[in-house]
Amino acid sequence: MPVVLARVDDRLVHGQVVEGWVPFVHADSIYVVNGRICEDESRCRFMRMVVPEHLSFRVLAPADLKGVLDGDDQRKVLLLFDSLTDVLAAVQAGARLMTINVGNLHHVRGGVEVSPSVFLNRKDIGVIRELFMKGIRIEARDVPQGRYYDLYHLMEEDI
Amino acid sequence: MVENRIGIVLVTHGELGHAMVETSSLIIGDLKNVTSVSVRASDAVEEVRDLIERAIDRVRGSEGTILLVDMFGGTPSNISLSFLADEGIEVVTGVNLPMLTKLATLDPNLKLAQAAGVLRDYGKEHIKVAADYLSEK
Repeated sequence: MPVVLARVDDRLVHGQVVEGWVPFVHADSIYVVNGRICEDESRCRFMRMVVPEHLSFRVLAPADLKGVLDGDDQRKVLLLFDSLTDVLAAVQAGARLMTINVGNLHHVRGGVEVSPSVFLNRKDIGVIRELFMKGIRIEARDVPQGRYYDLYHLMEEDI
Repeated sequence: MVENRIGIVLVTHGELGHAMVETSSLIIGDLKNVTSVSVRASDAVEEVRDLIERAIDRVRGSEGTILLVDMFGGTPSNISLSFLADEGIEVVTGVNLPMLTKLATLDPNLKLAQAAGVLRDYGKEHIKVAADYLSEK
């Protein structure tokens, strides 16, 4: 399954994704990679509600991403994670991702401000280093037309 | 008047809700049971939930509270929908100025869900393409 965008966004499915990124990358499906949110059934139902009908939608655990991406489905998928840790878990389980877009990681978790909507804590920084060593590029960008920052290089320079 | 029976909280991107409430007061005067919550790009979901919760407490009426949100699928709407599980909460999306002006003349005997339906219909009815409107005449 071709990945047209892999995004870390603690708001998961919301306006920036549905109105901005989906048409920009011509996605025809949104997969949320998260092992926890469907424990809260109503949260899962509301999330499904806001996905436009023409897109297919699924929630899957990080460990299952490899199997899905290696399958025959040729629909273009936009992947959403709510943390960098889940990205790493998916990659360690064998999922091949080239670039990670970081959209929203808000300050409630503490950390250093990269942009008004992206804060990186100590754990995130460790994950970004690890992903970089695996050859994965990580950029911070909220909307398609917005400015973007290469997070690894920004980190090495500033933090 | 819906005052004291139904509270109204606008939940919108940025200052949109504040501006709508302020503008509606120019048209229909102040409404005591109406407040707004601004959601900024830098706000975390937990913070917004907290702001909405406090806003609901400020305006809650005997019949409950209607959350008027700007765009279905956006963050203000997504977080507002999570309040639906609570007793006496209804959410209407696509808030516009006609919906707010309708509050001044809303039938005071309506139940929460009925009031939400009236606001939705009123908001929809007031979206016109001028040319269509003229050709109806």
